Amino acid sequence: MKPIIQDQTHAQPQKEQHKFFLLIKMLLRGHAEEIQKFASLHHARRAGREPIPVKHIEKYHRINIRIIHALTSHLRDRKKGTAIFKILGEHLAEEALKDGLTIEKIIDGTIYQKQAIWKKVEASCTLNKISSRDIHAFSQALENYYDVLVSKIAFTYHHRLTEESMRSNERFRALIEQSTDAIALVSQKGKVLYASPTTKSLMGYSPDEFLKLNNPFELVPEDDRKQVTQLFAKLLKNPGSTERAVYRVLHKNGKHIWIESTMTNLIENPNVGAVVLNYHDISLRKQLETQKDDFISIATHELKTPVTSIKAYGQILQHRFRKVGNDEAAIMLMKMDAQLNKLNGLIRDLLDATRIDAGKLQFQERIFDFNELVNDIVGEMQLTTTKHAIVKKLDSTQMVSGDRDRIGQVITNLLSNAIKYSPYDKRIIVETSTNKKGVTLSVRDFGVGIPKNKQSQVFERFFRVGDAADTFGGLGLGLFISSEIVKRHSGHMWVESSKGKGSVFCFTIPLKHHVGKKYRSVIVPRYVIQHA
Amino acid sequence: MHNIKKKILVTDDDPAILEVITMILEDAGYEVKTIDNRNTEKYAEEYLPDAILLDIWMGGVDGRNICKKLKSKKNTAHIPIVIISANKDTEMIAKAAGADGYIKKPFELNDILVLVKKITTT
Repeated sequence: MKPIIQDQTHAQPQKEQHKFFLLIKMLLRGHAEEIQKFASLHHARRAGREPIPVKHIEKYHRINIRIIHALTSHLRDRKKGTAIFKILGEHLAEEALKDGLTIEKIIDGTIYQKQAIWKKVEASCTLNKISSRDIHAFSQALENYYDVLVSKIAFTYHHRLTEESMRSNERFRALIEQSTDAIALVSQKGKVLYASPTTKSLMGYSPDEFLKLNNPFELVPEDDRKQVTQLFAKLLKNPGSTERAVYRVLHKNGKHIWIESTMTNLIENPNVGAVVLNYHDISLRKQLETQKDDFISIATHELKTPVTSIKAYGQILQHRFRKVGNDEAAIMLMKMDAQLNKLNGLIRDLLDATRIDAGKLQFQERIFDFNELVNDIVGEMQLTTTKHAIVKKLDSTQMVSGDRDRIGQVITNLLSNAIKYSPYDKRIIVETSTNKKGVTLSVRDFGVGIPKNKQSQVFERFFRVGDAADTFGGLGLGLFISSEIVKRHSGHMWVESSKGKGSVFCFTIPLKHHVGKKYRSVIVPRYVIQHA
Repeated sequence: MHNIKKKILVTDDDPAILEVITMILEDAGYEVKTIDNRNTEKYAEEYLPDAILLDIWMGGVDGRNICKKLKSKKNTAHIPIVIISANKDTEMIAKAAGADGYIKKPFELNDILVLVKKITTT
């Protein structure tokens, strides 16, 4: 049995602590607002600005007050207090995550609050009369509860962000796996690092089989392989860049399919570290293109038939009129003949444009007299206009190696444009200059000119200076075809022009070149991308 | 001495072109016979012209084959054949079929006369 004095010795400190805790409770509760404001002020001062966005200040203030109250209510009942602080920590973290606040902000806030509470307790006189054991008990409770709070905040953040990350991963995985495009990640050396499930339906190889391939480029047939590997090499030199190409690949079943692929160099992106290849089967599109090309081939053939007989009748009539001395009628028929040549030219342009894409534009090389060609063409074109006077300033002639008809086509195109685009000014000047290296021809007009910002597009397919509603006519194919012809002769073509002041179109052809066979280009022309 | 007219056989499935070529050649002093595609081979063997103007694209019958066949038969191999066509690659096609010349449609009248004269004077 314990002596009464012993009981009293134990009871006395307990009672005093209880009284002390009550005093703390009243102190802190009574000054909760003041304490919290103090904490917020210091937090803001340290952060350099208001750490909590204005619209949320009220909410977090209330939560913080609740924390202070919770502290004071459970100074003695540690078990319950801990449970409450866990709840408060989770609540605080959830709100902060919702509002997009960082974990640092929230935790800093709790630290400033804890400091403010301690300062308040220190500052009040009560401390002097309190035993060190009681101060210790309070400080322990304070630290303990705030540890719980901060842990819970950290845990909640971690948990939520991990969940989000997993959900995000799942989302992207679903996107990649369900995509109708096949996706592959390829290393710098061309080794496949990843192949999406769609690889199987597209290529016949399962992703695993695809990964085992030593060199995926071997699936590209020889005709296209060089260009594809060159494009890949170009891609590797430019981090972050993208290339598009159309080529064939060998399906597992032994047949070739046409694919269009987009490759992006993300090797330097730490999250990817590879080239991303995105490709899909365009066999249907290719089939339609072939049908279209065949159709145009047939159509142009059909169009040429009536032109042939009209032209022939016209020439017979010309001949007969001349025989009887009716020169006026003969001249009219001559002009009609020139127009028919123009019509034939448009038909031919239509066909050429489709053939350029298919890489089927062909040339017959021979040696011819350049000035003779220029004179022929100028003579023909002069017949198509009475308003314009084509003036020739020709250098001495050269024997040129190339496709005479095609070069003639280029000169015709330039003259036809010059006539078309200078409705008000009569002068057109054709100039040549020749030297040992090659020949250069320029056609100058004083018509509408081409604005500077359009000059780089002038040689593109379908480009026209005006819009569809303008009255200049033509198919918009001439310069595209002409520049292609000049390119194939190893030459180049350019324009100097300003709006309203006319244009000079020039091309130059080196004497030594080979009009060689060109393989179909795998690079997707820009206009296709624009229309996609 | 009686000047015998040279005989030219012309095939094409377009009647307007047949008429026009006939006019041109007759005006220049040739005798012209026209035939539709299906019977060209048979008629050539019977008529034995001094030259044949052959269209390639003829509704179902490929002029190239006709050219090759005629060139391979003993009795017609000597007849010069000119291929006329609106096809872009007429020159190549003519060479491949073994023809002696080619004319692209649409043509200049003069081109026909010059070429026919050339191949009938050897």
